[in-house]
Amino acid sequence: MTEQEIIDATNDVFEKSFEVERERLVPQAQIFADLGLDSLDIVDLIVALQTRFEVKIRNEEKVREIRTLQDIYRLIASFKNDQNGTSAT
Amino acid sequence: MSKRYDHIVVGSGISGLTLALLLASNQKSVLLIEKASRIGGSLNRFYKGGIPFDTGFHFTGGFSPGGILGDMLQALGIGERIKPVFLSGPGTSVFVFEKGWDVYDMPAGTDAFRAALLRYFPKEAAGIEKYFALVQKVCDATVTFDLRKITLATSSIDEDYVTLQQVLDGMIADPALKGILSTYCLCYGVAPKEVSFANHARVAAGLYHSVARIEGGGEAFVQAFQERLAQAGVEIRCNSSIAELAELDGNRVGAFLLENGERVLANDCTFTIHPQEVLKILPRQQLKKAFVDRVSSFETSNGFFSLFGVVRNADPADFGPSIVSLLPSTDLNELLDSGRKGEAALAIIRSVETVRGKTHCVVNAFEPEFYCDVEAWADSSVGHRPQAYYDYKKRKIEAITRRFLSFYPQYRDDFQVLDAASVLTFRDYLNSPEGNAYGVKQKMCQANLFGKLPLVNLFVAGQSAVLPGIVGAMLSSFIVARNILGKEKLSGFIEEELSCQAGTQPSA
Repeated sequence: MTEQEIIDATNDVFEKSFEVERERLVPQAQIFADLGLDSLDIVDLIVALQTRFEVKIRNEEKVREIRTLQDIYRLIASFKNDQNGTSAT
Repeated sequence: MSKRYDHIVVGSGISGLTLALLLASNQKSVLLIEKASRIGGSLNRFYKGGIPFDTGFHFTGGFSPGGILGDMLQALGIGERIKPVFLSGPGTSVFVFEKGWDVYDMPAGTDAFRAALLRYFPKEAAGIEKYFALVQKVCDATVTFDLRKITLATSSIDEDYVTLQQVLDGMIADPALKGILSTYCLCYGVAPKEVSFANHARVAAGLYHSVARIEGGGEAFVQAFQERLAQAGVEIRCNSSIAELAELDGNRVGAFLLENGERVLANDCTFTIHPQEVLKILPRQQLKKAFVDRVSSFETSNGFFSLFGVVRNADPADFGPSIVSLLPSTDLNELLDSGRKGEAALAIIRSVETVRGKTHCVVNAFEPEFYCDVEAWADSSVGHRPQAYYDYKKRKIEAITRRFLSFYPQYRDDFQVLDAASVLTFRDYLNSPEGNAYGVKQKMCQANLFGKLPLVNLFVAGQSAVLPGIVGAMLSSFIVARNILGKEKLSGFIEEELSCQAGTQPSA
């Protein structure tokens, strides 16, 4: 998956599942302060991203470090790389 | 003037009963609401001709000294009232693969169970040892199994991300052995290829340790709770439910409107009912689509077609308690597939029940049943079903009876079926959606509905939250209580209650 595909698909999740207007979806947007998510929404965000990208997003530490949309793009990219790099268990 | 409570608990299964008592024991004023005409849900027994039968709770694992179940009961002040009747001895825990009539008579106790498997499957010794070592690893890493360490925060382990099937396929070749190790999937309603190994281990470990029925059945819980709830001043209302959440101030609920129009005020409310029922009550405009999608995606678990019978003239000294699992296949994925056409896995429980001085040799026999099996008659109600439904029941009763007698031919002349129930019966009597037994299926990587809801003063607990079964349902309530009361308060309370028990042993 290309970087742009990850960006587009992630933004799509925010638009459709969290009803955030496309104009607000800029890489430096703060998830909580700018996009209006709260801590409970993170659970639903992870589930929606897992479904969209067909990855298992574990590593709670990395998830807790998410602050901006850019952080999410990077997180997805790292999980997609892991998925491609290792064989299925 | 509407009465104000500190807390409303919705649903009076073991999760709701546990939470109501925990909060009330910590000086909260609590209203417990139950839709049915009595509390207890599927803890209650069903009586036919004065003979008691189980409607949901049949047995539990993990009843070990210092174990999580014992600790929770002790913390609730009902430990003395819940008396386990352990299954032990030959013929009390048997797995039968019907195709070849391969019978595996398993002893009680984890070490003995493992040793028996090593005797039955000597070529699989390495895999058996690995399997049990991994089960132990999961339990050691499961913080919530120590009541003094429970927390809402979850930290996952590797085994949360691999299925039971994947683990078994990696360790074991013999299909019968895989089948025996997967049979406990029937105790939580998720197939081996869908459940995480970790969740399977968390349930199975308790059952390997011990399997116990309770003296007086699930009703012993109901009676014990009833007494303690009265002492703690909990107000209980049956035939009652929340129709609407009202007077929203931002994302805080101001008032709770009951089905009779009554307006009730409370600071907080916890739902212990099925997630899809919770979703119906929450105001849609307050929910993000992602939340609705997540909760809507949960699959409701199977229920059971249950047969209730007795063996007249049997010797109570030689009548269990015992559980025999008759398995038409070694593949539990098949047996938990709603599309399956063949015979279902059948659990047969024998027990001796004494009621008002009379002793009965009781048989509870049940097999997984799915809503799609009875959906054609879904619009009917109790006592008003179409003839086709009764014909279906009759076929099921005959088939189960035949299979029961294939294992217990000695009861041929004395076995009598008194009644049977389908998932429609359970749906209509217990208000369980689709007559389910385990709430929603807890599949690997699923984020269950648990803890805080999108509205700030609403919470959710129950069988669908942490783990299915009695232990999981109670545990979820302890965790939510910790959230509501605060860590210090609940920890202090638990410590005080547990230290009242003389000679407390280390947690299992």
